[in-house]
Amino acid sequence: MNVVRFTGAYVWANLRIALAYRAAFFSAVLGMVINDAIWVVFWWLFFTRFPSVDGYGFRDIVIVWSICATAFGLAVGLAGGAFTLASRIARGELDFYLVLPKPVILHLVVSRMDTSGWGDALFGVAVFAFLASPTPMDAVAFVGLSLIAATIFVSYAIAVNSLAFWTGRAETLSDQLIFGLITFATYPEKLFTGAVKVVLYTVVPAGFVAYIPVSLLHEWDRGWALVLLVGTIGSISVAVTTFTVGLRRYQSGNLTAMRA
Amino acid sequence: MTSVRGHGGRGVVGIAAYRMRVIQAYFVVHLRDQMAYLGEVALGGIILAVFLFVLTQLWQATFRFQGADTLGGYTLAQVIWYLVLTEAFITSRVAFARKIDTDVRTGDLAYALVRPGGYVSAHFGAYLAERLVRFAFALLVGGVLALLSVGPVPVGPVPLLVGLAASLVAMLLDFVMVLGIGLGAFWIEDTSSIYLIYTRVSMILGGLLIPIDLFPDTVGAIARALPFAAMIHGPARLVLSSGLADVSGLFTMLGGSLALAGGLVWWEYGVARRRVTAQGG
Repeated sequence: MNVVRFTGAYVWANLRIALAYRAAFFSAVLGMVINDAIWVVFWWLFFTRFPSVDGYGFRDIVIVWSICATAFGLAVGLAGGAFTLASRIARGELDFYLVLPKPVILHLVVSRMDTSGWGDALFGVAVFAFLASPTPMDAVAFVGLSLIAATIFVSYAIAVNSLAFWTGRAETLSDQLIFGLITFATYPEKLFTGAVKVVLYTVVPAGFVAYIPVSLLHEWDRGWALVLLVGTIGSISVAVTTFTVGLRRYQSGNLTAMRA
Repeated sequence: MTSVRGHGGRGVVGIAAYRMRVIQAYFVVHLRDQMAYLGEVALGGIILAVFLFVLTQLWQATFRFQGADTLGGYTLAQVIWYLVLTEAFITSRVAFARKIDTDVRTGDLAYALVRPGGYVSAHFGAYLAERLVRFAFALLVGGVLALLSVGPVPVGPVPLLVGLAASLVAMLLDFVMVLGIGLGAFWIEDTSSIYLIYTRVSMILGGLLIPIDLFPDTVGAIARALPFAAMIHGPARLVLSSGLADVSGLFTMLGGSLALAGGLVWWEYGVARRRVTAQGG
């Protein structure tokens, strides 16, 4: 409970800081909504020309996008620090977090907020509500599955950003890997087969971020729900282990900074 | 656009020659800079490779499911090479609007304006170097992937050269548009969301992911009336075509858009410069 209160307090503080620059906040949110909408327009154009590809239609891709956008928005909105970890490790900026009693990894991830994430989340929820014609049960499942997918996004971000403990600079690499995950997650699963599919359920967990949640939204299946649960716990374990092992290699940047 | 009197000899020709030397100097410096950090450029190839791989799977499934050899006049191989060309244009973009935005907000612009050579010329030289290196690298990565996945397509030397020339003009037009967006920081706090919208709208209406020939008729007509199609779809279509049909229309659209956007940004720059205030510090 203490951890929940701590996280809530940080998120609230980050939100208030962001809202201090109201115009910048709303333009970032609106910009991201438009960015996401453009992708849905692409799919609309595509499915207008080809109404079905291997059983996939416009509604299916809308659900994929709504889950991914909501999950990614929540991830960068609530735990944006996970996505900037590599640069902070490279600059030796973790000292502040190491001397405080709170769990270091939790403190690091909630200490930053990417305001554009709220645009993603807003877009995802709106698209699901207006284009996917959900029932109340669908809506409940959507919220739960988005939170799980957000947890996997954050875990993946922590794991790939923690590579900076070994490589020094890993900002570009981690950005590319996260972008790669988003790219795979926002296309129909049926496009991928064989070894690529194995990769998408392990190294690049698009299967857990999008494919399984979407299939559960279509049709509840206890077996797949269990796989998703195991995948989520596995993602968190990999993230915490990578960060904890990497932290032993951390070197301070002896940075003096004022935090107000 | 800053004063160059005393640097470039006499008259418009002298000023233009001086500007060209400034652009060349910045181009050479930034080209060396790009070469020194080729690893960073190469990392950018990862996402291009992922994107092309995913789109190749999508179009292969589409052709298979439609049971067609050609769609909108394109074979599967042509669609994949089309994507290589359009992706190379898009992924080589240089987001220098953010730099201008920062210069305006921090006041660094006031210092930059008094440097010899001109603020815009400096940005253009740097832009061209970074853009061309990225473009060449993207073509290389995309070309290798396309060769491996669908093999070569017949391309004539003349359409190839004219298509690349059209891409160069399109890059110049892109520079002018991004410059205009960056200078918007004189009036609004943050131009990053406008830049984001510009890139996304140009991606869709430029035919990045779907050739415009496959758009629904109404949307296709709108897309063709805007400059984005000439910037992205046009050069790619030209390279893959067997002749030079529509080449004059393409260059007319690019040239007209460049003149219009150039005029507007020139005016915007003039107004913006009058708003520069030095705050000391």
